[in-house]
Amino acid sequence: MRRYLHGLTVWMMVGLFVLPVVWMVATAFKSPGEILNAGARLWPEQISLSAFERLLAGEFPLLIGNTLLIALMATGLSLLVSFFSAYALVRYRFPAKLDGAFLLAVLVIKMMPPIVVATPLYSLINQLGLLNTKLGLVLCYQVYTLPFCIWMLLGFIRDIPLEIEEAAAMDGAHLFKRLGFVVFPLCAPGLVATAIFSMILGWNEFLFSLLFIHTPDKFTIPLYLANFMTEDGTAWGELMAAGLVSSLPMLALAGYMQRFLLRGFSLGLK
Amino acid sequence: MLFESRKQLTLLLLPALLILGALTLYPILSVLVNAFGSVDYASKHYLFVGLDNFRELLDDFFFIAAVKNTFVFTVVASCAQVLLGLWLAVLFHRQFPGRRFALPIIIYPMMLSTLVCSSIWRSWYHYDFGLLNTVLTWLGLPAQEWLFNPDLALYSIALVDTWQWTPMAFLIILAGLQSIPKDISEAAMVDGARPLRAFMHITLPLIQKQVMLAFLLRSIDTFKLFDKVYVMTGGGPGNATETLSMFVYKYGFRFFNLGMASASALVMLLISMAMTLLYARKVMKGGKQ
Amino acid sequence: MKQLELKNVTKAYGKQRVIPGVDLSIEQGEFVVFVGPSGCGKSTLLRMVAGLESVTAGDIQLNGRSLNGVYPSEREVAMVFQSYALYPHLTVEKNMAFPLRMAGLSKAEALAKVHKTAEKLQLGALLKRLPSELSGGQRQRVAIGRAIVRDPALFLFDEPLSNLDAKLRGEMRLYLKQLHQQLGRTMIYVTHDQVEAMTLADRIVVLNQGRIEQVGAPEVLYNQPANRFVAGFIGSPVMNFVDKARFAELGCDVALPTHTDSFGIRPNQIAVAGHNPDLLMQISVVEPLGHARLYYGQLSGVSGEPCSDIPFVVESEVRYKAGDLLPLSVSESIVHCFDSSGARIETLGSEQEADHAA
Repeated sequence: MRRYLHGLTVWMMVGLFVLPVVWMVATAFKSPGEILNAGARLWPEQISLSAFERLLAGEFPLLIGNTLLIALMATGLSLLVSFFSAYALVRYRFPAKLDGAFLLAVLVIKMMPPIVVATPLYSLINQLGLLNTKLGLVLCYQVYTLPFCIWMLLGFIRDIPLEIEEAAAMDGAHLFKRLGFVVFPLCAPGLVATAIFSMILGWNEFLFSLLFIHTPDKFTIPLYLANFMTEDGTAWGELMAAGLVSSLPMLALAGYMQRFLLRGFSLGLK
Repeated sequence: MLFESRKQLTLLLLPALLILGALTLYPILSVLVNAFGSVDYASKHYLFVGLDNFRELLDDFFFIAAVKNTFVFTVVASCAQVLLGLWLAVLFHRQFPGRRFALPIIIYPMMLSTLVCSSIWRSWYHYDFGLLNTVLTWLGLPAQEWLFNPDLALYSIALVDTWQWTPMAFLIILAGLQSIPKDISEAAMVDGARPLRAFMHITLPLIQKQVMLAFLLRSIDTFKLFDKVYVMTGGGPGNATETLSMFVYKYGFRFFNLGMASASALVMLLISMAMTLLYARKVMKGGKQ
Repeated sequence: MKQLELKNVTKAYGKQRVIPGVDLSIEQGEFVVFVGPSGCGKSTLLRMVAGLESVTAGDIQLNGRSLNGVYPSEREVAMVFQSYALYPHLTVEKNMAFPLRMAGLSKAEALAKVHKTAEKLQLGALLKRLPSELSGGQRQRVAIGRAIVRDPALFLFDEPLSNLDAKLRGEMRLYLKQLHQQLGRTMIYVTHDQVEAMTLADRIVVLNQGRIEQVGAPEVLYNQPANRFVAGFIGSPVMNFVDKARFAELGCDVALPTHTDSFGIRPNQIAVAGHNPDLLMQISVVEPLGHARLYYGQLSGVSGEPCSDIPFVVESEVRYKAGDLLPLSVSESIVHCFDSSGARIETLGSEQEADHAA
């Protein structure tokens, strides 16, 4: 009896936590008329795809491509750079505990509110002539993604036994061969997980795209959502459809990423 | 590892140093300089003014409100998330039907982007058509101005944050619970400890570190609060949901007052750094990772 | 012919000198075992030969060539690690081919060599498997195979058997010995297990706190330990040590050299006397071993004095029980005498035995 009570309580909590997500899905499939009239009815009376149709007719598909490209490029750059630096930090004792100091600095950057560096970053990007460009955003996103990738990969590279690398060195693999043929394949799962998280960071980023992107055809998805919300207060169907489409990859990957989430936590995700 | 030269390994670190140097270290230094100066936005003329900006901040009614709001939000939201997360973790620590499926589902909220969360909840908070008021009316209770009541708005946003990020606190604490050796809880049971006593005296002390870490992480994160406020209330009504991030944003990008923006950004950086160092010390203590 | 020479090889971490300067030369084709308690520097010494640790001072020469500053793979040295260090993402075949591919051999050449070696080591059936699909003993053999395939001048083994269970360890010991006979290559083997050292080595190097205590064939170390440390480290059960001054109180007349400070007797060499014992031992614990029994107790004199508190161990086939007085007879030939610094004092008996051993 107590067992069932326990199960019931947990599932009720789970239901409570997932209700807004369910509501988002349901609303995306409601017709515009039904949304405001249905009261508290959760599920649509009739599945309507009109919200999606309107969404696809607009600039939304283009913006998806935009955001994806930016997130991909930011992740690619961060992953490459952090792989090398994480390796050096794990395998080499820098003099005077400089490696520790560097890691702490990276952690501080990772945890710092991004708004802190927003004004100088703005003038920097402006001087480089990269305002309102994808490349500008890719660079700015390094503020989030690079520290994150370094800390994530640190753990994965630490898991590679030193003896394996020593064996590789004795077998004739110098630094870059070792990185390519031994370290890289051994932390491939970690690289994939790190890449996914970093993609999500880029995909969801709001502040820098708000500050550095000015024309609607270059908006990222979060910026599009923000704009949509403030301009059109109750066009919930389209808003939820856009939210749903942009969240699908993450919702699909939740099960896979959960085991890596725990790993990211000891270092602090986000 | 000694068979590579120091130079080679330093070379590996160089790209990261360059990127972080240019994109974070330089901006931070520039914030540091600007915080003690007055900068003309157009001519870039810099005038050293010492602590003037900080004095002005302390006199600024909006700044005081922002500090107060940020503090209240950070404490309320973090506490709510950790307590709720702790309760959920204890619930999940025991087996129940369908546990395998419940775990990925309950972390859905944190997989969504803040903007998606905000758009859902903004719709729910809508006075006329929102789900929450519909339910309140159905229950015979008065409808609420969730985002436009100055006494309520900040807590409405805290509720959204709690919904989104409780799963994170939950996962950290659950990991702590799962790392307790089985024989310890079994020993407690054999010793005849009642469930509540066993939890208070055995389980809780053992996961104290995780609870603290969850609290610190969530505090560091809630302290940044910007996106939700920007899209849900814009800082209003009045300045009821003005936060430090919003304050820096407004002075930097609307009023173009670099000195004030930098001074307040520096205050934020120092607070965030203090919390981060505390966190780092907690993590390092008792075996790094 | 001398193949490997260590000349005043020193290792220091900061100010702490782990190895204060070791001189050693190893002959072509020898099987040398470095043995010592953990932290004695045996692994560090081996890793310096491999090139995995830098040499603080001194020189290591292989076939007359100084190895200082030479990259590990360019030393003609192969190493088998304690954890085997197989590449987990590569099959056995690719693991073994890895050093060859790194050396620039084509895929076909490398595979041909791997297959030949695998045939010799009976690894043929495992070639397509991943390390995770192998048993501990199989992994060990693959690791050895990966070392052999490079055809190095010198093999290094860093406690390669310590992750195996006792039975498998015995088998692998035999396997390694046969391999050494078959290949005729020089091998250096590090272990903390003196049984492994005794069974495998042509020559044993006993290390303690970074210093060489003694170098010699297993029998020499057993019969003529150079000092108390070696005497106590080699041999099982461990040698009994008795202070001469304490011993004198027992009223036993065994003639000992004048400078003797203490002496040692191996538990399995002392005889249980039928009559006229020189010594008695009050038995407190009995451990049956099957073929014999281990008796733990305290020595006492033969003329009825109260029992001393000098601990002693005896291994014997004769059956006594706890509480009994075990009669012992001491002959000079089994007594190892040490001076106050712990160094060995040669006695007539021990010299005779050495002649016998030689």
